[in-house]
Amino acid sequence: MIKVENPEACTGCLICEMVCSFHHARQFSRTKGSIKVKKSIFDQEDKTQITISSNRQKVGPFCDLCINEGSPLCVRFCPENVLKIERSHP
Amino acid sequence: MTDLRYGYAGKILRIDLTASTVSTEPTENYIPKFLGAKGINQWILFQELRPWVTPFEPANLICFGAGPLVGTIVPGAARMNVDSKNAFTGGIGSGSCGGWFAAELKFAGYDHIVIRGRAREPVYLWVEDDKVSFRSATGIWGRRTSETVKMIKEDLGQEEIQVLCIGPAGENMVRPACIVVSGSRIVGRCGLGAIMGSKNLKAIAVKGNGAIGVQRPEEFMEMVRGVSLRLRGLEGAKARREFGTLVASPLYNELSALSYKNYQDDHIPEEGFKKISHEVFHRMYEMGRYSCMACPTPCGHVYLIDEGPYSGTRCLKAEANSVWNFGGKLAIEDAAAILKAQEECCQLGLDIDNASSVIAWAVSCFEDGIISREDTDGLELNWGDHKAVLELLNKIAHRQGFGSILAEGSLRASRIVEKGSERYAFHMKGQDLIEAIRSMKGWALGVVVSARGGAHTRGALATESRRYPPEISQKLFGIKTAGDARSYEDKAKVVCYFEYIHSLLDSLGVCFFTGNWATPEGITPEELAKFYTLATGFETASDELMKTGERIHNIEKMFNVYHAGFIREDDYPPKRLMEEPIRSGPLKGELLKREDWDKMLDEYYTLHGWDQHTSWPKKEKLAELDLNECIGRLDQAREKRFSY
Repeated sequence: MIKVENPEACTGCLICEMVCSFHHARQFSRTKGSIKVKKSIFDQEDKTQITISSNRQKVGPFCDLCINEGSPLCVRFCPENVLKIERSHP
Repeated sequence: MTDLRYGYAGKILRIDLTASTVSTEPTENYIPKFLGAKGINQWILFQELRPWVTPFEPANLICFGAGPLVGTIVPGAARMNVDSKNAFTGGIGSGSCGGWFAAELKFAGYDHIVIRGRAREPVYLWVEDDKVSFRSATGIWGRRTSETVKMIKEDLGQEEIQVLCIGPAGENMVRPACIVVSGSRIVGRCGLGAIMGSKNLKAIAVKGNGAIGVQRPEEFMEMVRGVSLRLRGLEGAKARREFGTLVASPLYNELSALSYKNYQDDHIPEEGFKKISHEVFHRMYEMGRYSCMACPTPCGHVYLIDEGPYSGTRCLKAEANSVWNFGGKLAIEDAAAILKAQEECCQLGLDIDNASSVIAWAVSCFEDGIISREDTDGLELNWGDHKAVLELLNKIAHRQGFGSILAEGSLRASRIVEKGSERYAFHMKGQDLIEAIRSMKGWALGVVVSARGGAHTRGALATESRRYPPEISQKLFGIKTAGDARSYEDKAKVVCYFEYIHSLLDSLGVCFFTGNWATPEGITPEELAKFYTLATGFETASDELMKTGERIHNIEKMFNVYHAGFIREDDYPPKRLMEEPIRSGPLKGELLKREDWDKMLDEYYTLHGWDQHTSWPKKEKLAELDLNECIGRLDQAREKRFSY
């Protein structure tokens, strides 16, 4: 699964959302992917929430670890190395 | 019929606030000839706006445009361009911003929003895909910008939306008013916020549930990946990631290119400059960083002041301009006070460039004894007095007392005050000048001839402040002098090049920091052409794209010709900058010599195919650029300008 390694490094560029929707729909969109970033720079506390659609939280199509893309696009494209692949069965 | 399934969203939203009507028009009516964002905005203005319409009349239009690469992940493709009639000059008003609004607009299905008329009562526009509605803003009118965004989100019951809005400054039609986008990004200059205010339009909120596709997706992604990796490795990108654009201010101070105390000098004394260097902001106040949509090379920072009189202030971006304006022009040698002033402007919806310039004019007048406390509502005005600056910012935004005079910009204010105060109004074509231009000659040319009325976001060179060595200059531009600040030689050629580049970046929606303005390793015109081709399916070579850039640049010029009648004389720097040399710093003694300026202008007009006497595009040039519609307007403008 995709693990949010260091959310505090996220700059809110939304490239992960874009490439995720690209994987699922071959289009860029904020609603067609499995990952959702909510970064609020406007609140007193800098809050970043990154949600990935899984069995527990449904925000879009399930994350399939970018089947057929070689490797997960969000991990590959994130400029800040916020995301990483975690293997649940080592 | 053009296939618009890719890159473009496909529709232009047309709003008439007087009649409360909404309609759409296909974007294909304008492409590929006018490319997008700025190109299409300005062509619509040129076609639909009559020259006798003044900026604050309902008949004026304001156009918001997101380019064809916005909504994709081309690095830095987050920009929105806003165009209207300039509230200072009567010519073209044009500004651009980053953030997330432009992409959201594309996802909602629109490349542009074109607004005319004036609402009877304050309103805001709510756009959610095909649903467009006018909502009352009576309860929000008068609110500061962050409160406005919060209230709109509550009113709509929507958290995940993008909002652009004006603050009290725009509502009161204060000429230095800006548009605040996504809470922290600013469409500055030209009084665009005041134009929204004149239309009783407080804000636009948008939510897009749709998508943007590209025509050759696999190649597109491959190319994005490669370019993105390259950009992230660049020294400039790393520095901006660490310090923001603040990191550029030492480059300018070292070349005597920062206005100090309203052009008394172009160099901030070292002692003072140390207190407001990028390192101070970084070390003392920085809390975190953020980037615009689709940008792998962030330059946004969040600052928090946790001590002193401004304790508790959060500021969402400080730019090189913040230091130029408050640190230089107003001589505030206090980083926390600069952040406070910046944030106050953001909340009031004031453009830091124009607001600080008119205050600098007032301080100069006060120092000279032209005005006194009797004129300033009892305020003592001194260089570096940030308390007075903050008070004036509020007075300007609310048009209170002396603030109402300053709300007109320094040229108009000097005509109200008279007594020789025009001497301190440094302006280009009527809009306050913010750049220091005596030391770097190519930078100066780009700033001065800029159609929007003085600005470094057109042809002004970064090659001098970044000191390109002669061999790089030769390789890139075929001349040796691009990096030599003092030289006038061949600078016009590079200025023309960057004018076209900026037209392209502003029209495609790409940031000029990911472009090749500040470094030759940024996205090149060849890469822009390739991105455009892969995204939209319109096969476009780079020379063809540069021609489009030239066409768009000429439309901007023609708007000024037709609407403001500017001629060659309007392309000269303020007189005092041609007479009084820089007093200190490494380029002490430099000024702009009229005879050298003349030569540089001649060369500039020749390269553009513009007439040297009037500065106007020649008919052959307009025909060559397929702008035949402009030729008739040229004759009308000539009749108007030279008939008396």
